[in-house]
Formats: sequence, structure tokens, C-alpha cells
Amino acid sequence: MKSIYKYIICACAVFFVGSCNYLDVVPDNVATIENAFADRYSTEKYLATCYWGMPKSAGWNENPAIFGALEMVFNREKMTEKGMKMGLGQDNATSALINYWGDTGNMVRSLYAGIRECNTFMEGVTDVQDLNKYEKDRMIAEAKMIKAYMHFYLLSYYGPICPLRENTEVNESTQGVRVYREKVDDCFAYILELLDEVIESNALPAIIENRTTELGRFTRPAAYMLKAKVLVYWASPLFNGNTDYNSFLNDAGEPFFNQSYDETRWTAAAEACKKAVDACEAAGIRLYQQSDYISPKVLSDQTMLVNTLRSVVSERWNCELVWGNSSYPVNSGLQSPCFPRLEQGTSSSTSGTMSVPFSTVDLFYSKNGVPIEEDKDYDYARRFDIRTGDEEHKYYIQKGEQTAAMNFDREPRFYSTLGFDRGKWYGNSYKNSPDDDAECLYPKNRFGEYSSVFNPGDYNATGYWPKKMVCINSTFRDANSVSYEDYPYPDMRFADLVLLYAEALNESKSTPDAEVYRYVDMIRERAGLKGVLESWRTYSNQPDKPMTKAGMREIIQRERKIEFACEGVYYWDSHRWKTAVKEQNRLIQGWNVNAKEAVDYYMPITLYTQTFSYKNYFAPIPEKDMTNNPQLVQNPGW
Amino acid sequence: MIRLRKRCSGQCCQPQKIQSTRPGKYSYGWILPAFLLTVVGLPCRDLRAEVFPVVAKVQQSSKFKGKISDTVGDPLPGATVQIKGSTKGVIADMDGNFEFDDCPINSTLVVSYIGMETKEIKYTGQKFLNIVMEAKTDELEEVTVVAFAKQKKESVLSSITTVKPAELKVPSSNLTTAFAGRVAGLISYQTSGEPGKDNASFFIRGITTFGAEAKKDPLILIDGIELSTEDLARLNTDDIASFTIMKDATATALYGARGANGVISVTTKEGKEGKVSVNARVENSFSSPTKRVKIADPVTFMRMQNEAIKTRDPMGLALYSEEKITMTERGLYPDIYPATDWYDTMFKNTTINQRANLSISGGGTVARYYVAANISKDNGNMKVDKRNNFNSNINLMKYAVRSNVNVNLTKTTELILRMSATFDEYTGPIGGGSTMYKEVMQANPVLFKPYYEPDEQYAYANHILFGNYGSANYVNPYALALKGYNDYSKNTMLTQFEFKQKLDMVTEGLFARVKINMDRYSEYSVDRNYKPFFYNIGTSDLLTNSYTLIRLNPSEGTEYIDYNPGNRYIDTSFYLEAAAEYNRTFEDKHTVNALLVYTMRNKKSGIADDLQLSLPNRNIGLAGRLAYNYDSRYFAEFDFGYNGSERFAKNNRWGFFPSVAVGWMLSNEKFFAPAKDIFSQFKLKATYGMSGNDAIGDNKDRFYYLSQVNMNDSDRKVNWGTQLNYNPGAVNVSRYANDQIGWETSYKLNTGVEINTVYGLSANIEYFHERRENILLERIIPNTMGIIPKVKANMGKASGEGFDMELNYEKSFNKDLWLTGRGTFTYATSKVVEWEEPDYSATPWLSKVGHSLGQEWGYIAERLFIDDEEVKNSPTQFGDYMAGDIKYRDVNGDGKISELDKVPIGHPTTPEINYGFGLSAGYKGVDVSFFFQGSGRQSFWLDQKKVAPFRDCDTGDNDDDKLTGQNSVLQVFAGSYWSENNRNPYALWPRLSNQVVENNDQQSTWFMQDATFIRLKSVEIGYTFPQTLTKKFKVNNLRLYMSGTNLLCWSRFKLWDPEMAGNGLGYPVQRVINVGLNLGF
Repeated sequence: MKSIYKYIICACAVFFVGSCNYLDVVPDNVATIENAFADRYSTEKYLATCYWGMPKSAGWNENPAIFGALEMVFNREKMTEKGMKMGLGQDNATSALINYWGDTGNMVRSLYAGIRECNTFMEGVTDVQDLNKYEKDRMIAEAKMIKAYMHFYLLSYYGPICPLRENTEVNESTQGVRVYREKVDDCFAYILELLDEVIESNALPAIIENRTTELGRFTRPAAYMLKAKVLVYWASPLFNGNTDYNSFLNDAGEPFFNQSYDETRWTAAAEACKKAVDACEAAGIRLYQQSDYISPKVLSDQTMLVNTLRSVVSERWNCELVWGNSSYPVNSGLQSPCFPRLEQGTSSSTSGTMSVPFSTVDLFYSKNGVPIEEDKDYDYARRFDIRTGDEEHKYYIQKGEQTAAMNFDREPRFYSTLGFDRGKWYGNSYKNSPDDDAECLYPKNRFGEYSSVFNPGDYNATGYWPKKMVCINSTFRDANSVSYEDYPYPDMRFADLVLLYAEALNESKSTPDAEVYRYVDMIRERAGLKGVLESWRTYSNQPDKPMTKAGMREIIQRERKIEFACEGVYYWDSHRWKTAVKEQNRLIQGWNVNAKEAVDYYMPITLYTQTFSYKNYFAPIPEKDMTNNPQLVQNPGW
Repeated sequence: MIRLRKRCSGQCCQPQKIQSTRPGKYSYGWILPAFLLTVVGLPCRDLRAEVFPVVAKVQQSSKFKGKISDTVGDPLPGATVQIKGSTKGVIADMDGNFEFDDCPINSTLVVSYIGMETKEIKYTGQKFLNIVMEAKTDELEEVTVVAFAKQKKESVLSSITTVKPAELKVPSSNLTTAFAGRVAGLISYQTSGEPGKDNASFFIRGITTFGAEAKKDPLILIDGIELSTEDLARLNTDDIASFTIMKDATATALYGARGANGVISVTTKEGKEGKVSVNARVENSFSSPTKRVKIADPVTFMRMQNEAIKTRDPMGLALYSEEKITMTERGLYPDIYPATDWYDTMFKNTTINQRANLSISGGGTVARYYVAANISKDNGNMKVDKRNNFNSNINLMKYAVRSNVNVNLTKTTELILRMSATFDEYTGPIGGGSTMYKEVMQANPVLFKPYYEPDEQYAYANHILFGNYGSANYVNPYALALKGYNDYSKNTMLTQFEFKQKLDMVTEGLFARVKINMDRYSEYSVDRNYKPFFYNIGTSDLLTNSYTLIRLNPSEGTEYIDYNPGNRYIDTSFYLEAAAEYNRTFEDKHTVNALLVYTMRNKKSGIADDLQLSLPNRNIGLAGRLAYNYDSRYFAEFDFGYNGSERFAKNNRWGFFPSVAVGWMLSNEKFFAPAKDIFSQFKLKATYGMSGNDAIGDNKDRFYYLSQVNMNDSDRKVNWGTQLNYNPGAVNVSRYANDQIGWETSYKLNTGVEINTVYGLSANIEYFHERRENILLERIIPNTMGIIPKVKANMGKASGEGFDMELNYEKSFNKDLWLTGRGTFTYATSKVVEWEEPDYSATPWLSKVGHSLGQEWGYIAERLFIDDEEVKNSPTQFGDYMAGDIKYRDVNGDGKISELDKVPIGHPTTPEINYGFGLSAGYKGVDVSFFFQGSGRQSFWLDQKKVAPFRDCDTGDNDDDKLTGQNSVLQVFAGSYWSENNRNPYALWPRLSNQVVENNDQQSTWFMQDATFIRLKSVEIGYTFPQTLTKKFKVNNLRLYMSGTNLLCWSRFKLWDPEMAGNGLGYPVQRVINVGLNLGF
């Protein structure tokens, strides 16, 4: 009888021993996050995932800076595009337009999600077996850099944020997941800490050696430049002693923004800029010069310079690029709206809807290198008059054709940045590389002409296209179809760093000196202009302007607006300078593109009234997150 | 009882000694069972083999005669009388008489007969012995099926409702339709009457989990095997031996992992010792919708649609000309000015369904068998066009066979083999019957005819000339129904071995058993259809009433059919159960019952959509019970289940679910004696314990402890390299690993009282409370955590409570007149206790906490706006709206109506009350019964997508059917709607519109309905022919009966059958008139 119990016990034991594995139905090789760190190939995949999460720059519904300051606009038929609504001040907390805080899409996605991926990457990469230490170190530095970039983006866009230093477990308690926004200085400190770690690790390469597969990844100069940029932002008025936000307080009752201006931040910024400039130069990064542009044909000096200046932005991986954002490159999506039809076709091959308003057009200097409203020789008052293209301007404006006076006698960057009715547009078409570049094609935009309205909604609302954004190698194959060449969005280019340096120097010194002028003049010289001092002294009705700090500040700001026009830099600059509230309550005007005759066409028409108030310096925290996390404090005014 | 006396009268009138044991000599009645035994492969032992002629050594013996009969007095020919301890015995003759030559005085006689309780009698020297034998009682009447075992009824402490199979007999081939109101503790309702899709929903004691994809319906066990609702639905009532539902923790704890939502356990019949019994039933039913939805006539439709356009936009163009309206109204030219009643075109009023089943059972002491087969044919009520060579009406044939065989291998060993198979063969319209109903509601009555008679040009068309309009994208239900058909076949096969061994040799009362089950489910479905050609009138001539047709889609239509494969499944499962049970009573007072069960389950899907679904579902469990009662007065029980599930991480894989129960049988106490005159039984009981649920989320998403990753997301590009074309690929995490996710557990309390009175009335009343913890819910994760995939966690808590009661009345007044009554009442309500939600401190009415799990939120509709002035001066609402649209209350007073103004409205969407009551009475051969059923505390909303006049509601499963439809105008709305001439702010329907009016499209109290109803669920009249008459035809039992279901209904809601609630315009619930014949021999 006892033996029977033995059998029963044995039987039970067998069942239970067997049962331990019985419930492990999942085979070991089901894809889990651990697989991402199995070998060097999947690790590279995950690193690419981190890069992919970066904010997309080459789309108006992704990059708030494209339309955010109405530096460019769409016509009224397309004013409901998210980016346009943003620029028209229609953002709101209930359904935030460009929501880098919490969107879940593939184009605009919460940057916190991207930061989380970087954190996961940094945790996982150390265990990868077949990567060398220097490779791991480089990847960690890249992930850290991406993390810093994303934090910085959030900080610029939302103000005080909730840094995601380390990943919270998915099973964290309700209280644990409810975090607080941190003071902007703490956010800056954290970003700088990350960047210092990146720089100190010295793990990033100075230049990308394996260009076929690695261009698009961060380099040492990029890290230096980002640090410089962050420090400039930290010193800029929006984040430095911004007393407008004295009642914007955190849970402890302290203001999120420091309330006293600290000038020494500019010194730190200038130092960082210097280091960045040095790092760039050591890596062969420099301003793109006319000699860098290879033309298959002999061109006039004017066209040569225009093409050079266009190439600065749109030539892939050129020597001026510190870091190009390739995850969403400038493809047909952004180029088509910037591209007018250059001959009569039978289909709407390009939309040409990206319209540059007068507020941007007016910024460009006269051919003398000073603002048109300051130029003693420039007839500013009669700029809306009609003038006929002459021999002197034949490389800029079709000879014998009528266009507005304000399209004449402008600096080369005017012609490289903008396309306009009867304005010359060299290249970009199968039949547009004539031996004499004065005979190249040009848009005709009066109503009914080939560049004007084709389909309802497909037309330029102001008469100016941002030519600069069209890659020189994108080409009409015939009258009706275009092959586009994509290029990485120039999110970091050397000219930007140079001007940041000039700005920081100017701000950190009591009066501008040769060092300040030198860096501004580098940019001007490349654009075919004389130096600041000389230009102002000779042509401006305010010849002493460059001599004062304030005057020089204005000049540097203007230089930035021109050099980076249509690149989405002004949006961020106008915020950090806190000039947006002064500058962006204005009329948005363009030519009367619905007119058939030149006399009617060249009449300024008001498209929109731009408004900007203090709340617009920062985007609203999405309302859903506000209810999901009652600890969050909404930005002022939303 | 099988009686054979008449058959062989006159053949064997002499009592005989058993000398020879050749079978068949005495009664050819033995042939069939003997044959069957041979068939099942048993050694064909003589049924009376234990009787041998032996001479025993006796001291004193006597000769005597005797007679053996049953309780009614009928003799039992062939019964054996044997002296205990010897092999000596005799067999009774055809009249039950026997004679013993020399029987020792004071010896014990063992009297046995197939199907009768063996009886031992002390022979004390009488000359004549009259022996009355009692039929073997159906053990099920004395015991109750509990988890993995049976328990004596009196010692059952847990909350278990047992329903007599006869109670569930309804004229339907779907068992689930019988539950509502008949089973205490079950909340049930049926929302569709479509053959094949008419399963009722049912929940034991309501729903207490709010996990979005959690399993909410009970565990269904058929012969101890976990099966699906479909399998339960297909079960034939005649095959059911017992039907029990287990509700509390003690009843379900042993099922651990799967018991939290209660258990429905059905056992099928087994063969009984006795002669072959054949039972046949044939039924023929006539079914028709309980209620037909009334819609406005075509002329009203046109006028209202014109008004709908004009009232919103005075500049809008009227859709129908006055000429068309007038001509349609006159009805002289039905081809040119059609006015189609789509309902009549499409549907018949009555359809006929048939069911037949046959069961054969019987057996001897060695083997018993129960073999059954049934077949049913359910038809839909679509009309069929003779010109089509295929029938697109619903035709669902169900076949089922079942064979249960019990074999006593030795005196202590029993082997049971159960096999069953069901086959469904279906043909029906593409999209199913309810799609047809929805399409009828979407069809325009005046733009075209269902089909046209061919004109000269198309006289030779080899197809039906279906009507349509415009570019042929209007809904023409007639064409949609006739264009093709769906064909599916489903099959379940089940084989079960059970091996029982008594282990009295180890210790008395111990036995062990092993059960192995394998089943397989397979299904396929195909659609075959052509693309109809559509026509409309091209030119017409009223003078000659002639027309020419134009073909609207010459390039799209086809005359030949095409083929589209549909679902294909093959699922298999394996189940093993090994148990040891111990039952013993010590010193007549201490009764002990112990059980230990080991279970193992493996379910696999052969055609799975993804890797995770292709992995098996597995459970392992060890469960046990220890029950003790003292003197049948004090009862105590401890149960547990210890279960593992493959879904969870190792640290959470196993769950332990204990429960305790106590009971007190007052009626067995001495002090109760005075009350014994009234109460034959009075028991108090209480249980408390846990049970679990591992099916807490979608099967696709079940390995929460693993992350789910797409290792090659091609949408995530970085475009590195000189040519911007290097993409190493990207990783996309769609679920983060969370090893903390584990069982959903329920803590159940149950208290109750069971009363039996001597007057025939008995009651069982129970109160229950349940607390459900660890409910899986989607977390509220602020974006700052950086987690985009939904994060789930066991963070929800809910509670449920209520009571259910059951009253039974049984009384036989005399030999001819009997009366039985039965009533049940179930009230189950639930409440959210904890739910991770956003911060609702400013708008507390948005919080789900404290509300029923089935609670809906919506706006409070005050009335319709009186004029545009009022619109202007009221808080802003939704979209464009004007006078005559619904005005909502601004609950938070912020000057606009927004999500924040939604408040809990109405009752839950599943009923909180289910009840039923009925009486049956019989006098001699006639029996009559009726049953009422009702439900209460349930709200539903008119689905505006389906009822808003002229709106295009897409009928397909997906959102877009790519067809233009216009909702018909319900008659009630035609009679009461807001119009500029009749500005009734309380009209049933707001201002008409030809488009969706966002403002009125919100969920609000305006369209809220009360689904409370009570209905006459069934009535049955039967006549059993007297045996004296039927015996001539060798028939034992012949009953003719007629029954009806869903005959009458009372409800505040009048538009359609209230039980269908929100599904009102689907395939209607059916009223069935049924004629049946039951034959037993």
C-alpha cells in the first residue's frame, strides 16, 4: 500500500518537473529588444533609429520654422496646412499643430520617445560582442549627441522641459510617471553636460571617412557647433534674464526663467564658438566658395556667384555643411513648391506654392551691401515702380522684360535666394544651360502665364519663389516632369557658426572690434559684398552704425536674416532675440498675382496680417498631457 | 422502464430453473443490446453469466415461490434471484414469477435486474415472497456536478445553479437562446436572429472586468473540456444530462486560471443499464420577425428629403421634382416612377426550419452506451429569384453525432469513451443576413427598381437587369443579395478517454481517474459572386407606358462568377486531467471528501496570422478540495487551484487561488424538529475565495513579459551616405517588456440560503459580492516618459454585487394532475473602484470611478433650439447648427459644449436585471406550460449612423462600403420631427438634414432608450398518447406538442424588439411557432 503512495508522489513529481518548461512556449528567438543589440549590424540599426527620431526639417508640417515666422507663406487655398496655421497664430493646446511633445506619427513624433530610444541604446550597446571599444564609444557619443539635440530642440520650442535623463520603467507608479518641468537653466546645464561628455570622450570622428555609408552621422565639429549654439541660446535674451516671464513659476514658486541678465554667458558662448570654428577648420569645413562650384559651362560672374550661393544650401554634403539632416531630406516634397514652371507644359509638374513675402524680400541688401532703406543710392520709395530689364542686369532679369524696380540693383544673394517674374533662373531644366547664360529661362507669372496658376491652389501667392531651396541638379526632364535631386537639410552649416561667433563676440565686448567685423565680413565677402565698415561708410545714411554695439547687433541680425533666408533660421533667431514681438506684427504682402498685365501685377497686395504675442515665443504643452500629468505647468498665455 | 411482458406472453409461462444459459431463448429483447455490446468490441459475455447452477451445502432448506415486480406493479421477467455466497439461483419467467426448490433458511437472497437497484433479502422461510424492486435512481438527482467531481446535493456549499435540461428545451438549434431568465445568476440577451449568428450573449453575475480585451464570458466546459460558445450553442438539449453554472469562488477556485468569470459545465448523457431505449424527436418551426420596423412610404420619403435639403440651405436644389412626387403618388407607372418596398422585395414573412434527433441508449452491467445523432436545417427569410441558378438565401445545416460508451473493464475499473462531432454547412448571402437588413434600410425607394424587365435592346441579356442610379454605386440590396453567395463549413471533432479506477484495496473510498481529450476545430469560408450589371430608365413614354433601358456599368459587370477565399482555421487542443478522489464516512458522522486534480491544456492554431498567435496556449494546474461534514449538519470545505499560464513572466506565471466555505444544515438539528412540518430542508452557506483570469488581453498581445519589436521598419529611414541611399534599417518597438503583468484575480463572497418546504416549494437565494483586482488596463502615460506604444498594467480594480434567487414549485395533486413552477431573478451591478485616469478634479463627472463598468457618457440634451436667436445666445456647440437642432447643457458652465460636459447617462448597456418565471401543468396526457422573461436596468442609444434619415451608413464590416446609401425614414420620425412649420422643441427628430449634422451626432440623452422589457418567452402545449394505445405500435412514449417563443413583448421602446437594443436594424430576433413529435420506444 505504501508503494502506491510512492507511485503517486513520483507521478506528481514528474508532472511538475515537466511542467516548468511546458509553459515556456515562446521560442528563444522571438524578436525582442535584446535582438537589437545582438551584433554590430543590428546595433547600427538601432543607432539609425535614434537618428531617425530627430526632428524633421524639410517639411512645413514638421519644421515649425519654415512657416512659423511667415518668412515664407502659402497661398490662401493652402492656409490650413499645419505649418501655415502655426505661422498665422492658430496653434492651441487642445490640438497642438506641430507637436514634438507628444505626437505619435512617423513624421512628427514626440522627441521624448526619441530620447528614450537613445537611453535604451546607451544601455544596450555596451553588451554588444562584436563591436570594438572605439566603435562603441563613438556610437555612445552619437546617441548622447542626439539626446542633447532633442533636449535642445524641445527647450527651444517649449521652454522649460522635463529632461529624460534616464528611462523610467514601464511599470513605474502613477506618481512616478508624473514629472515636473525644470527651470530653463537646469535644462541648459543638462544639455551642456551631455555635450561636454561627448566632446571630452573625443570619440566622434573629425571627419567621416566612410562617406558612402556614414555621411549624415555626427562628427566632432558638429558637437562643438551644437555646444556653441546652445551656449549662444543660453546667453540670448529669451533665456537670459527674461523678466517677461517673472510670474511663470514652478511648483516651488520659483520662476522657470532666471530673472537677471548675465553678460558673461556671451563670453562663454564666444569661447565655445571659437573652439567650434577651430574644430571645423581642422576638419576642413569652411565657407563654400566660388571655386568650389564646378560649372560645365563658362558662365558670367553673376550667374557663377548665384549658382555658388545656391549650392551652399543645396549641394549634397558640401564643404560648408557641419551636419546635414538626411532622415527627411529636401526631396520633391519641399522642392516642388519652391520651383516655378519655366515653360508652358500640359500638367502641373511643380506646385510652386512656396511664396516669399515682401517682409523677407525687402531684407536683402542693395548691390552696395547695405539695407535698401539705408542705401543713399537706392530709390527705396519707388521700388514698386515698373522697370525694364537692361543690359546691366541681363544675367538677373530678362532683358527687355518688365518687372518691379525693387528687383533691380540688389545683392547677389537676392538673386540666388529668390526667383521672380521675369527674373533669370539658370539651370534646372533640360534646355536651360545655354551657352550664353543671359539667354536662360525665367518664370512668367502674370495670370495665365506658364508659371502662374495651373491647378486651383497651385500658384505662388507673392510672386517670389525660394530658388535657393531648389537643388541645382533637380531638372525638368521635359515640360511636364521633373527629376529631383534630394539633399540633406543644412541644419548646421559653417556660415551659421561664423555668424553666431560674430554675434557672441559683439555681445561680449563693449564695442565691436576687428574680430567682430572679420567674421561678418567673411560671409559678406563670399556673397560678393564689401566689408561692413566700408559698405556702411560709403553707402549708408547711417555710416556709424557698425561702430556701436547696438548698431552692429542690428547688422549681424540682418546678415543672419539674409544669409539664412528661407532656411527656417529666422524663426528661432527672432525668438531667442525676443525681436519677434516687435517684428512679427505686420502685413504679409506680395504682388497681385491674379493680374494679367504688369501694371496690375506689380501692385502690392496684402495676403495675411501676421500677429505675434508673448505667448507665441513658446509652443503650448498639449492639453492631453496637462490632464494626464497635473504636475505640468502650462506655458504662459496658453 | 422497458417492459416486455406483452411481447412474449404465452411463450414462456413456466418458471424455469437455469440450466442452460443460451441467450435469446427467453426473450428476443436481449438481442439488440447484446449485439451492440459486440459491436463496441467487448467480450460477449452472457448477461446472466454470474448465475450458475450449483449445489450448496445447507443445513435447512425450503421450497418457495415468489414474484418480482417494479414499484408500479409490473412484473420483471428475467430478473435473477441468487443465494448470496453461492452460485445457485433462478430466473423469473415472463410474469415475474419464480420458484426456488431448496433455499436455506436465513440465507440472503440477492435479487438483481438490469436497470434496478440490486436488492438483498433475508429469507426466513416464507412460502411466498413478493419482491418489489426499485429503479436505479438517476444519480444526478442526488448529486450535483461540481468542479472536477460530483458532490452530494446536501453538502454543496458553493453557489451552483443546476438547470434541468428540459428547462432549456427551446425550438431553436441554438442552446444559448434558452438561457435568459431560466438560469439564476446568468445575465443573458440575444441581439440577432440570424441563423448561425444568433448566439445570445451571457455573463455569469454580470461583468466585473473592464480590461479592454479581457475575457468576460464564462468558462464553458462540456464533459469537462473547455470549449467555445459555439460548441455550447450547438449542443442538443436532448443529449444533456446536467447543466450547471458555477458562480462563486468555491465553485470556481479549482479552475483557477479560468474561473473568474464563472463556469458553465455541461455533461452529456451516458447509457444506463437497461434495455435499449430509443428516443426520437422531430420538430418543424415557423419563424418570423418579432417586430417589423415601420418605415415611411416613398412619397413621404421624397418630400422629407426635399425638405431636408431646403431647410438647411434655401438655395439648395430639391432632389425630386414635384412631377416625380405626384406621379409616384398616383402609382400609375410603377416602372417609370418606381416606389419600391425593399423590405417586401427582399424578405419573406415566415420561414420554415426543421430539426430532428435520435438517440439510442442502453447497456448491461458491463457496458453502457448512448448514441445520438441530430440534424437541423435553418433557413433565412430572404426571397430567392428563380432566375438565379444558386440560392442565396441562408441555408444552415447542422449535423451532430455523439457516442458515449462506458465499459466496466473489471469490477473496479471503468473506461469511458466519448466521441462527438458537429458539422455546419452554410450557404447564404455575401456579408450575411444582417447586412441584407442593413442594406434594405439604406436603399433608395424611388430612384430605381430592384430589377427591370428587359426592353428590346436587352431582351437577350443572360442576367437579371438590376436597377441602379447615376454611376451605379447606389445600394441595391436585391442585387447585392443575388450577386452571389457565401459558403462556409465548420467542424468540431472531439474524442475523450476517461479511465476510472476504484482504489478501495488501498483504502476504502479512494479512486483515481485520468481523462484525455483531443479536439479539433476547422473552418473554411468562400464567397462566389458575379458583378451585377445595373440599368436605369433611359427614355420613357407615358402614353404607351414603355421605356428603354440604359446600362449604367457596361465595363464593370460580369455574367460569370468569381471566387474569394475567406476564413480558414484549424485549431487543435489537447487536455489531460488526472485526479484522485477520496470519499468516506467515518462512524456515520464524519464525512470526508478529498480531491486532487492535475490538469494540462494545450491549444494550438494551425493557420495563425502571426508568430505569437501560432504559439500554443498552455495551462497547467493543480487543484484540490477538502470537504468535511459532521453529521450532515456542519459543513466545511477548502478548495484551491494552483495554475500556471504561458502568458506571464516566470515570476508571475503561477497563481494560487484558495477558497473556503462553511455551511449549516439547520434542518438536521434537533431543535429544528418543530419546523420540520414546513421545511424539509433549511441550509445556510457562505463562501469566500479567489479565482483568476489569465485571458486578460488580446491573444495577439499576450506575452507581456517580452518586448515586441519590428527589427526592420522600412518606414524609418536615415538616408546616410553620399547618395543618401544607405539605410541600415530601423527598430520599432511596439510593446515594451513588462514582467510585472500577471493574473487578474477576483475575490468572491457568496452567502445564501437553501430552503425546501414540504409543500413542494423550494428556494435558493444568494447574495454575492465580488472584488476584481489586477485588471489589465491601458495606462495613462504622460508623453514625457517617451513611451509611445500603449503600456498596460494590472492597475484596475472593480467590484460587483447583487443577488440571484431561484424558486421552484413541484406538486402532484393526484395521479393525473401535477403542477410545477419556476422563477429566477438575477440582479448584478458593477462599479469601477480604481482606474488610472487623467486628473479630473475640475470635472469630477468625467471620472469613471464609482460608475458601472457598462456606464456610458454623453451630453444632456435639453430640447431643440427654438430659433436662431436662441442658438446665438447659447453656449457654442458643435459644427454648424441652427434652430431645430439639439441644445445641450453646459455642465461646467464654460460657455461652450465640449468633451468636458459629458456626464454619465442612462443605465449600463448590458442589463443589470434578468428574470423569468413560468408554470407547467399536466392533467393526464395533456401538459401546458408558459414562461415569461424580462430584463431591466439597461440603456441603449439609437445609432444615428443607422437611423438618421438620408444618411449614408456604410453597411460593410469596414467603414466604407463604397456605395451610396440613404437611410430610410422611420415612420415615427416622419410623424414627429422639427420643421419650420411645426417648431416643436420636443419633436422626436431634430431639424432634417441631408448631411451629417455634427451637432446632433453626439451621444446624448436625446437618443437614449430604455431597454427594459418583459416578454412571453414561450408557451407549450403537449399531448402524450396513452400507453395503452401506443403499445400496440410498440411505442412507449408518443408526445405531440406545439410551442411558441417570443410571442408577446411589453416594453416602453416600440420601434423594434427591445432585446436587440442597439442592433435594432439588424437581422431581427425571431418569433417561432413550432410543432414537434417525440417518440420513445
